Amino acid sequence: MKKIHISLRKPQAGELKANRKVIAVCVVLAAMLFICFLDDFTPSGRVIPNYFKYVIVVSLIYSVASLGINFYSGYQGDTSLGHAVFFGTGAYVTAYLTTQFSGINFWASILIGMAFSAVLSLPVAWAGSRVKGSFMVVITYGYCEIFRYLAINSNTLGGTAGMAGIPSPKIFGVRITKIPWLPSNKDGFILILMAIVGFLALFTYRIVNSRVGYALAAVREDEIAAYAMGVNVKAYKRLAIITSAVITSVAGSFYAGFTNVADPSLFGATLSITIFTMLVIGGRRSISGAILGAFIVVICPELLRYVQDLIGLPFDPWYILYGLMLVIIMRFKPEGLLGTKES
Amino acid sequence: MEMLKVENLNVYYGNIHALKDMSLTVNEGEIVSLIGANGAGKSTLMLSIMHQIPAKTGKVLFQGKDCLTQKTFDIVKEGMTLVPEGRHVFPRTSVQDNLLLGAYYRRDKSEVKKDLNRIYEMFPRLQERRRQLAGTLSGGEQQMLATARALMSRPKMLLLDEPSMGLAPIIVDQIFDTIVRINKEGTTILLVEQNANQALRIADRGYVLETGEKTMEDAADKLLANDQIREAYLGA
Repeated sequence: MKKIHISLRKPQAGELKANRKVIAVCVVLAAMLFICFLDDFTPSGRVIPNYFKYVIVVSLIYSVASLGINFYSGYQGDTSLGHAVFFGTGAYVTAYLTTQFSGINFWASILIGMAFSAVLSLPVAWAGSRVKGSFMVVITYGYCEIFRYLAINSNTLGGTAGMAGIPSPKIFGVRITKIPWLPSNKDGFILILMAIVGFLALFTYRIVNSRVGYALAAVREDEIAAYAMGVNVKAYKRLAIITSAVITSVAGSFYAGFTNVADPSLFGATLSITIFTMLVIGGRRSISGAILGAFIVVICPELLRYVQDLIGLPFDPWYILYGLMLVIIMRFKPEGLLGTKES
Repeated sequence: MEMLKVENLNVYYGNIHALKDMSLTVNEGEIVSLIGANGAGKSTLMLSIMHQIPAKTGKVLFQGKDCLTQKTFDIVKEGMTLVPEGRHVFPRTSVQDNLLLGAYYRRDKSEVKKDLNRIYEMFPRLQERRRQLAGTLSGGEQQMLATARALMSRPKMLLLDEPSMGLAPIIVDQIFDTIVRINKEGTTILLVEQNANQALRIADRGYVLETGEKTMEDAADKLLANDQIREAYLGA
């Protein structure tokens, strides 16, 4: 008998390419860090405008959300137009707890928000393990709207105005916006969010290349076969939704902590769709893609605002170009910019 | 020894009575074939044995344990695996990963590796193509893969649903040879087929299903010789 060498974990065709992608992302992140700290190296003071850093912080926050939805709409494969529920929940829990209870700090509120989101994702998970993917679009969308109306009509949550005056988070008693050795008030957020995005990227990578990841792939590709292989299909579907919700909630908490406001638009359909399109543009089931997608969707409208002023357009061209961009990507690269092609 | 025992199983799809008082037994080491036309309830029976479709009344016992109170994935762990109709390989996953998914619930990595070697020995074709995406295999190769994948869970009993469907006659022969070989290596087999001739030829016993009811059961060679069966299913 000819002995064949088999390793259970062999590099796949796409993996070398994936490694290159990881390196590329690291380089980009390092470059961003360098730019943020450029001020430190220039004796004449500020060279990087704070506005630029603001855009980066928002991009990083949405990267977290995009990595979150990747677990559900990417690895499990069903479309969600309701992830704003979890984003909004994170934001509102942080808003409520940090403004109403002086004892609870920002970091604790993130954890509580995660727990809340996990609980709120249970009905979706329950539904998701019972119906086919396309129905989930309607279910998630409707679920999200329920929470928007709850937020609008609740006095405790501030109604349409939402909740303002959320304190910026503190680290070891120092406000994150006023860390003495950092040149601008955004740098603290940039560092922490980069760490979180990095951690999530690693976390996702490890999960996807484990038993759980293989099981999710089986569920995504063929439920009947997955059942026949002894995969608990329903449990994995639920797991994907809950994990996804919990991660998205972290993004919401940071959004509230960063902008100091939480309003009902955080439960809005627009935000849901934005989170979803970030993933689709970047590439479903691509970690670097999810991050890139978030940056594109955040940065492009900001750039266009500048262009609009420059050439004196009477309207904001973003939504036209946004639609156009989606059509073009779906036509020429339906797997997303960094996604892997599916035959 | 009785491996699988189905007693008075009744299954409904809404108002449609799909399986009527179905009873069958499969003994250890046997190949049992279920034959019948389209819509006779063969696949329904397979799926309700695996508890993918709930049964209204009746019993399914696998090695004396009730399957109807267990989830599908637990039944797989008990040692009964289904090769679903239409193959259902994971199309965008490599052949080898498909096989490894077959060993999904097993944690004994070194044994899994050994089994993988054994499978490649049995299906050299799959070894040649182990890096290829399963969706790009031919129909026959996909059927081989689906069967091999089921073997990766080390089943004591294998349910095969229409393994010859849509395949060229020469491939069908190969598939049936494989089934016999798997059986000789100690796996009990319940086979559902429209290709009654070949299914009965390799089987020890056979059951004939018609519109959800069992109309006949006998030793396979007796069924092959039966005039009624010959006329209705064997085209002779």
